[in-house]
Amino acid sequence: MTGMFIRRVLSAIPLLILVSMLVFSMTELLPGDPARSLAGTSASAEQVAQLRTQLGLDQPLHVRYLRWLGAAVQGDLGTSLFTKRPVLTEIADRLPVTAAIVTGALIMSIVIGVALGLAGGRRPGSVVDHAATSIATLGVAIPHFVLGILLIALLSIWLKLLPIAGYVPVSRGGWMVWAQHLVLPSLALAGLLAADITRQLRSGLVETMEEDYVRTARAKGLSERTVIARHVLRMAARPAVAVTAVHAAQLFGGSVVVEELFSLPGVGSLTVNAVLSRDLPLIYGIVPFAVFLAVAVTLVADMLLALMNPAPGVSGEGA
Amino acid sequence: MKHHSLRPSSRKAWMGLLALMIMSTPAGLAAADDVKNDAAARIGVIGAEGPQHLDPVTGVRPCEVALLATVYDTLVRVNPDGSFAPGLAKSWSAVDDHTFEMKLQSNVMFQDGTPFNAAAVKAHIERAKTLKGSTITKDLAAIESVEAVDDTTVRMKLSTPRAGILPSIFAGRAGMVPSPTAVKAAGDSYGANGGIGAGPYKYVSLIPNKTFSVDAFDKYWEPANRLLAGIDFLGSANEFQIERIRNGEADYAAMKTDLLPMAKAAASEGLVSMAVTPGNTYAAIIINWAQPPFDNKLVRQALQHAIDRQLIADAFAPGLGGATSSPLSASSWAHDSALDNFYPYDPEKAKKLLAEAGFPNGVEFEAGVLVDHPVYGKLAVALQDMIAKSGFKMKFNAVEPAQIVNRLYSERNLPVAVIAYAGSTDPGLTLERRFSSKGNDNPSGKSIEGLDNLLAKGAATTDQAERAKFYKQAERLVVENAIETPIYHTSGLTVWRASIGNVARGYDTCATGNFVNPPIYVKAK
Repeated sequence: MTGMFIRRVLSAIPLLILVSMLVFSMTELLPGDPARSLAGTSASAEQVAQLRTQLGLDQPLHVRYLRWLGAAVQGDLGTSLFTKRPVLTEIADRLPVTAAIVTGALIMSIVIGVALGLAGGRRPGSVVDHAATSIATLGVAIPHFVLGILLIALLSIWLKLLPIAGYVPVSRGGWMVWAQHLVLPSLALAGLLAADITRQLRSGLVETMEEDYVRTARAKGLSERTVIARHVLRMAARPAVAVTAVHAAQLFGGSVVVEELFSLPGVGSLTVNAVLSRDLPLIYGIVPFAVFLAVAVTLVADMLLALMNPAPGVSGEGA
Repeated sequence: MKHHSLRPSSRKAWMGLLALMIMSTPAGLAAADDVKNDAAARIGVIGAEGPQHLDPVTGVRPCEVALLATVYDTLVRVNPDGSFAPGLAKSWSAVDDHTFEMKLQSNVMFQDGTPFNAAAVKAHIERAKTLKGSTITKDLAAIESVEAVDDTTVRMKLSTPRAGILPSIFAGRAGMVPSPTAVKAAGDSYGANGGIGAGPYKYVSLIPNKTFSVDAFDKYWEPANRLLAGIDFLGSANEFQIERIRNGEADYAAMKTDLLPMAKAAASEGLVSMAVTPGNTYAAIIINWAQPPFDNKLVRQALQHAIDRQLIADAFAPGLGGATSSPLSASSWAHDSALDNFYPYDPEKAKKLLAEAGFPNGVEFEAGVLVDHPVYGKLAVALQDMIAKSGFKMKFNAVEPAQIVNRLYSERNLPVAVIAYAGSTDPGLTLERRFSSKGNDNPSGKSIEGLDNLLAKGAATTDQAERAKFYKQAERLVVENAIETPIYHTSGLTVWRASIGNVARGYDTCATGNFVNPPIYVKAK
């Protein structure tokens, strides 16, 4: 396990370097001149040129990249062109919002997905199974922003249970108000993952329930609940855990749309603003950071999968 | 014929808009002043993104100025009708053509306790002129030197007579004076972690481009102008702005104008109050009239007659009025209403003018177009079809939004573009920037004979009636020579909870609105 952890961490380093190089190259293709945007509409061509030099934008790409990399390895990702704040501060200020909705989405999707998956998988072909499968199919088909709008219409406008949009930090509104503002975004983000967990868990359960060792367990007189909890779930849940691992990293990507829809000040909306305004240092910082997060989340998920592996001597399941 | 039948309704629309404005201008405040305010109330504003930072000197987004004004106040204030009023400057005058003097309010304090005085104003102007990254150096270019004569008198030496323009300059970023103590402490990064001004509200928190909160500053020099406990700007809004006001999540919304029917429905039910106000941004075919074929006045005039402005305005800004032949808004004090509908839609006349200009078979040209833009991309398609009937073949050159302004006004390699132009609050500045020979936003780099002279005269006097006289003549030159092809002025749509008073919307650059002049408040229950 430790070896795998070290190998994965080491393999992430060249990946991060590669991604940062790609980002640098791709931002060259972005139309528009950040110096012109920064100088304002009343600036003369000379002032814009001066600013370009001051920002180092007149340097060749490789020179700018090596300078950035040199500073980045020392923990300095530069300063945003437009907000004058360090890129790390910008990310750190926004990360709690994104982390909160992603965590919320993860919890909600696991709870919903496991509940529906169990309900359907235990009685394949039943009305409950059809209902769970239909809900899951719907969840896969509906994009985050459509689900978000539907949830707003239902839970906020019609039932008036939750706020429509916005973010209230704990320091201003307390924990309850903070949480209320994050329920809908988390739910909108959770839809796809919940649907996938449902489908995977249901299929896993249906297949595993037919295994010989499950029949043996039943023959021993164990209750259905015990059979599922002790013998079926560990095996049946593996595909669902694998899907969760992949999606957990993707949730950060999905948060871009959800944050815009719900007016949340997270990393997703920061990314949108950075790209739209050509805030190069912010783009250079955010993208490798997102990759780092994806690698970290995937690593955690893989370690969980490894722990669930029913190999001889690990779980005793095959003995 | 069609056009003539539309004019009366257009006039009615504008009269209605003006009536809405008048209801919320200072004249209408007398009644509102009788209502007591709830001093403990805060309001939540949606549709207004937080500023990028709080340094007024280096900001680039026009629409954040209204938010910065809550923290900084301004030396000069602009009334909703476009006239000027005293702010941190009690009065101002042209001592002579090359000397501008301001008398400041006394006993004013910055939010960090530093006294506000002439030395602070001098330091601010000098910083704004010299700081690398300042976005207002050009606005202040005519100021050669600043002298703090005494604690409350600032005198500026001018390279050219600009006394008429300077009040509008000092009503914006240049009039937002930060505490010299705070600027000295923060250096070049001033504003990144908040800002200290002498305004009615003090900085509490900022998430750049998103949310911004301010609390009442209890030592504000004009307590009658600070009627709330605080304001929370909650960021840009989704499509559910009215519902958020209904649900109590927000109190005031600067709305997208395409939500006008919903706003009207909510207002008719008495749930909210609303106002539609003409802005000074206009959609246009911007042309570089130094380049062929638009260097020919007859071709330019033909293009004017080829556009059914009312039809376009009804399609792209329904219910908002605003079809225009002039770059100045109908609500501007410098607008000559005789120029309304100066070029009625007349394809036959357009063809005749083209033939006279030597183009009997029509004219082909390439225009920079924001093809994916939800408004201006579609506008270009509508115009292409419309002007083709008069002999204009407009080919599209797809340009990225981030590039178009630069290519038009700086690089000048885009001779024509279908885009909006954001005019200034001051009509003189709009005309100067767009049409003077040295205007920043004049792609042709030249002017009509006599125009520079009229603009210089308008800039030299502080008498608004006198300025209006010169600017009306300048506006007529622009329209008659067809060096601009405006189509319609955009409008702002604001919705607010009925318990809020003093919502004054006027001649704004942005739809955000105004929170401090007159001071917005919540009526006491």
